[in-house]
Amino acid sequence: MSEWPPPDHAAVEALRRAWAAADEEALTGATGVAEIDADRIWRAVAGELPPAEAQEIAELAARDPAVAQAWRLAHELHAALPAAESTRRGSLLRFPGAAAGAPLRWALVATLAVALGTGLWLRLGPPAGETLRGGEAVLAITPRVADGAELSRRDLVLRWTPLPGSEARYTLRLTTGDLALLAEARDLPAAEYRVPPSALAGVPAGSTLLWQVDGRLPDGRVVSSSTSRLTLSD
Amino acid sequence: MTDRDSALPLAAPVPSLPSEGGGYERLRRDLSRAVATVCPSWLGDRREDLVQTAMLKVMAVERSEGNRPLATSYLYRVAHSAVVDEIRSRRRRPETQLEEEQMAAQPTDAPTPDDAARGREIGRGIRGCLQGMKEERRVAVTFHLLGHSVPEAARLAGWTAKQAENLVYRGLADLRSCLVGRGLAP
Repeated sequence: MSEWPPPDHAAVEALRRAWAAADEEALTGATGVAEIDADRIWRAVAGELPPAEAQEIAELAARDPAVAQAWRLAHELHAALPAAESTRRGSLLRFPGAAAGAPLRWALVATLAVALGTGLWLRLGPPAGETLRGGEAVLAITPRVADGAELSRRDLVLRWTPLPGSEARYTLRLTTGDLALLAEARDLPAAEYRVPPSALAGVPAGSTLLWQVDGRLPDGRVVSSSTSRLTLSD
Repeated sequence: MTDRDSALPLAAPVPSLPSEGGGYERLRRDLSRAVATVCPSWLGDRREDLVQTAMLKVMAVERSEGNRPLATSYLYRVAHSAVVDEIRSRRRRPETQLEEEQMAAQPTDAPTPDDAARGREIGRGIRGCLQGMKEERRVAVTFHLLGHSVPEAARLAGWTAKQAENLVYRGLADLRSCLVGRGLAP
């Protein structure tokens, strides 16, 4: 029998929530958040690291809110993982566009249709690529094509607000509604991309497509747009 | 071959199954739930947009691997990394904007402002008290307060179950004393 009474579960949960809330507050708007090795944290939570290394990361988490938060995320996902693996043969996931076939596509279509219908995961970003709040620059990429616009495959040009300066480079991804990748353009110097009609071969008129842009600044910062949709008119 | 390549758990292809469709629904749902748990003050649509961006990154990884089917655990690992990266990227916004968003994000069942402020104060106290603890107890309590049970903490740290139990319990007692000493009785 233990010489120490087991701690009250509710009290421990309250401490966990309090610590997480304080970490979130500490990280809100924080500048200069250091790079953290998410993969190493994942492996620590998975028990794949030697104990000494896992303890070292725990020491980091005790000091650094960002490390603690990444650890909590990994723990949440690990907790979900066994259930995800237990119901699937061979623990495999495939993306549409791979050899997964129709069942996955239609399951994703259904999922995304629900998400789109409830407006959960598409939102418009701020109105300009760079706005000022309290004298500080806010970096954002905002689509310059109206969400849900009907566009012709013969003249499908996607535009967005540029990041400041001329050295930013952009990556654009265009997918079907079920996330099968149609086009990916990297290192674009301009804030627009003309989708080649060949990328849309086989996509029926009336299809809803999704697109999203990442912009990278010379200092390494990456700014992502929200995901927008368009409809192929012909 | 890179370390990442060597760690890549490629799996042999299997025939398509209807249940595979549920795999990505599940990954997306698990990501959403994890982000909501860890970042409860973020707006719902902001969280979902973050998850969507992470899903696209996972897709890019899949594609870079030639669209070969990958182990579920590997994709969850990639998704974790993508979400951590996205959160970090979005943290760079000026405080005023995030504060505005978080003010608007408070759910109706959220604690009162006073309770929330008190909770954050206790949270800051926890971090301070951890720094004053003996090293092994600090590690044990950190594992436990990051969500791990005592047996899990033992496994991660390479302790026996009895060692872990003593370290966690004594560490929690130290923490309580420290918080009380700071006027932060939990």
